[in-house]
Amino acid sequence: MSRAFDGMMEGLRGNLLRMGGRSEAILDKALRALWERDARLAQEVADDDVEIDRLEVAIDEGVLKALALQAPVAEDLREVLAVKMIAIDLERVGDLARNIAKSAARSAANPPIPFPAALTSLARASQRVLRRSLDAFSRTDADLARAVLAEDDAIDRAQDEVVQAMLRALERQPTAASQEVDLIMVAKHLERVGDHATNIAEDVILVAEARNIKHAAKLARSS
Amino acid sequence: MSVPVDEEANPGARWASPAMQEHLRRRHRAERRFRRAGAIAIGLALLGLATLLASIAVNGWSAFRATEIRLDVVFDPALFAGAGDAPEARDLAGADYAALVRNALRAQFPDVEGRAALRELGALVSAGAREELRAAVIADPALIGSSRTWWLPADDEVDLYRKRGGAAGVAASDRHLSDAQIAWIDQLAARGRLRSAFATRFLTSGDSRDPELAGIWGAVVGSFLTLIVTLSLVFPLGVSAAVYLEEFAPRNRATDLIEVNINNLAAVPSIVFGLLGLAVFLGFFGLPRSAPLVGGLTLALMTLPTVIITARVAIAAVPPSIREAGRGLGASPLQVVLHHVLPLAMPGILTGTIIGMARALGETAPLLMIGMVAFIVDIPHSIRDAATALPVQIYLWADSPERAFVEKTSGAILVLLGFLVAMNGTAIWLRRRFEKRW
Amino acid sequence: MAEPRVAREIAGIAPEPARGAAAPGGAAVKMRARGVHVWYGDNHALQDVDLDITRGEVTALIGPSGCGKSTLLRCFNRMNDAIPGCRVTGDLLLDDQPIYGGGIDVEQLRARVGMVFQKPNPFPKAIFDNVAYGPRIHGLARKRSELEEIVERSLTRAGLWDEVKDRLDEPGNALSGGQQQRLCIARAIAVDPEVVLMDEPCSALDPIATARIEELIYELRGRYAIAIVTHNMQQAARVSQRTAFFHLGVLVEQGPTEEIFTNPRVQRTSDYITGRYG
Repeated sequence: MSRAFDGMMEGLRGNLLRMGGRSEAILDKALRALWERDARLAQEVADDDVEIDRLEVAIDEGVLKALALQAPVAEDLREVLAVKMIAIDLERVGDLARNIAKSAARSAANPPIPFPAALTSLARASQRVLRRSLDAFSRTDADLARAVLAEDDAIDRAQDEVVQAMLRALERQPTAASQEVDLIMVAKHLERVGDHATNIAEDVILVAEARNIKHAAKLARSS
Repeated sequence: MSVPVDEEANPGARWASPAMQEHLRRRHRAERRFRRAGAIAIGLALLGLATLLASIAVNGWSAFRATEIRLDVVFDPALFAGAGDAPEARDLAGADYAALVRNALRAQFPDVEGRAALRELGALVSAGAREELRAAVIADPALIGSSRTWWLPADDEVDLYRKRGGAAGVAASDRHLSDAQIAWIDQLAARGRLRSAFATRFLTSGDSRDPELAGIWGAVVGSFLTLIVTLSLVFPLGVSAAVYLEEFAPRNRATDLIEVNINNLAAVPSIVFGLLGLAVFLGFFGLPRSAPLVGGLTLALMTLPTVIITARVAIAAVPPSIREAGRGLGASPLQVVLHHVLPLAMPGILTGTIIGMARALGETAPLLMIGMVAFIVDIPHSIRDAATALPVQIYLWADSPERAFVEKTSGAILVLLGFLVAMNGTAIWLRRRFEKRW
Repeated sequence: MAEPRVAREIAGIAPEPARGAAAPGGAAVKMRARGVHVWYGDNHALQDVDLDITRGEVTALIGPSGCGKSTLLRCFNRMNDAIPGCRVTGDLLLDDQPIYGGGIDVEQLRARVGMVFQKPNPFPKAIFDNVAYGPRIHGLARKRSELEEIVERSLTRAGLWDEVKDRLDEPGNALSGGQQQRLCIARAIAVDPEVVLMDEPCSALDPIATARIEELIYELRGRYAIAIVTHNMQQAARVSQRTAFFHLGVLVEQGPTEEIFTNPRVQRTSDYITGRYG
């Protein structure tokens, strides 16, 4: 009954891409709140996140229905599972954006400190891999997914740089400790966003090539 | 049958053991014996059949050939009194055709003198020769005054003499011909005036006291008319009864009773139906004796149970899924029967009907009871005319004292068998043709 | 036993709304069964069944062998009349008119409520005559051209037209099994019924033919009220919008197919669906 299943799949993909768009949007808004020290913008993020949660519930129901009623197999099954897993990652991205917004609000209330260069490049990189991973899903493009995976190390290093820089700043300027700690947390959140983008990319490769490459390096080392 | 063999090591060894081999050989022997017994049985049956057919064919083959004598017939106007420009038919019919024949014979043997000798000479030609000439003149009065060569039928004794191979084949005491007659025959043969031709008379004329003129056409027409009556009664009644019993009748005691009775009637001896026909059709209704109408009615009673039974079987063989499909579309029970069941059952019904008709064609006893045993010369024209039927004709001829009727009897049997084979062949062809459709 | 109608519109995932459905909560009900009991002699085959067959929906009747689902189906077009000793009580209505009791002509009922059987049973006639039979006997076409239109339309709706349009004179049973069943469907819809009953229509077919018929049922539901009996649960899940589960002559549970297959309320239903039954 491929027609009915295709209809369901269309709906699920639509919802997922909407969710992805939302996540990108509120991540961008949270970061702008941080750069521009805009507490009001930070407040909007919390409201925007609710929409993401609603979409996640809808996707849950849709996945359940597709599995129960259509019993998909092969690529269809991997697609349905991928939608569910990516939805989880996107929901987390939403939460991370909310947390970044909270830090932005706090920072806005305190005197500003200069942003480390690594932080801006980290933020750009995180946004970039998130966008690319969603593009890869939308086009089921395994090569683009692998490009996302390749950027993961750079994101980790950028995060380390920011943390180091902020730790040094903490020694030099203890009075700005609150801002410095906030920036460390923002860096951590952004690195988590990168991890979720990596997860999404791995799910895309599962759909496209039927290969599960999660934790590949770790599993290879321990065997 | 346990065999001490290590099954773990060689699971197939059990089947290769000597005891198993012997068992196998015994089984094969038994099967070969069975097949041989079957072949022998079939062989004996075929042998018996072949013997029967051969004896009939040997006796009856000669019935299809008749001896003819070529004579130069002079249509002497003097014999046709009152012949003028338009002679009345009665004058033509009443002329002395025997004289025509005698004259022609004497023309061949001008030396024959004396009444006795002339009578013997005249006896060479069949009495039917006169009828032939009469019919010819009536058809074409212009023959009067002309002279034609004519192949006229020989007398049955001449015919028999010739068929038995001449003087050499017959003992002197057995011969019914005098020496003089034999001499004349041989002379005619030497002159090329004797031939053995296809006996169309056997197939085209009615019965006669003279064997050489007797034919089966009357019996064939009688049988045909009888079967027409039978068929026109049996087919509609039988099929309708079968349809009712299979499709519409409720399943209760009454219907069971009817079914049992029909099955029993199919096994009743045919002469009982003859008695019934005698009592009811002739006695009560006063229908004309010996008519195909009565014969047909009687045979219809006899054939009806068989046709009902075979028609029921054919109808029951139609798959119920077809009926369900029809009912599911909203067809009424009658529509289902007419549109679907009957067309599909028709090959079986037709086969059963034809086989029933073939059986009716060969029945003698009921027809004897209702009087179709009279000596009928004229060809019947309607179902109320007196007639006879083929099997009855065979019975009558078999009873006849004249030697020549022996070959006629066998010839008639061959014709009857031919019809039966044709009818059964048609039944098989019909069945094959319809079976291909579905 | 009134079942709750739960209207669920799931954003972006709802199927194309069925034509004729007034509203998710009040769609056009074509046939109703209320308090229906069926006896075969002394055997109480079906007990107290309440069920609706709705236009624009496929209603699946599922359950183990001998549970009474086919019996109920055959009540809807009175095919049980042909079974001696069969007794039906309760109310069975077509458009609020009782179908038992002399008010409706049985043959017309069967033109309005069509049936497709388990084993394809085309008539041993030409394909054209198969499809034309129903319209002919019910007088639905006055001229040959009208009949040809009906035949073409029905074969097209059954998805068979392209395959047989050049050989309408060939016998119906020269087709493959799947084609024969589509022919039977075309034959059933040629009289433009309001309800189509299907008794395990795919159980005699191979998987590809089955998939085609399921697609066909999916397309046809917009036009007719369809009830399908199937012993294949996955098929019921794929094809239907409402499902009714029968067990030993009792209607155990009915509801939207999605609910039955994701969260059935009765334990017996759950056991059957998960295959733990028996």
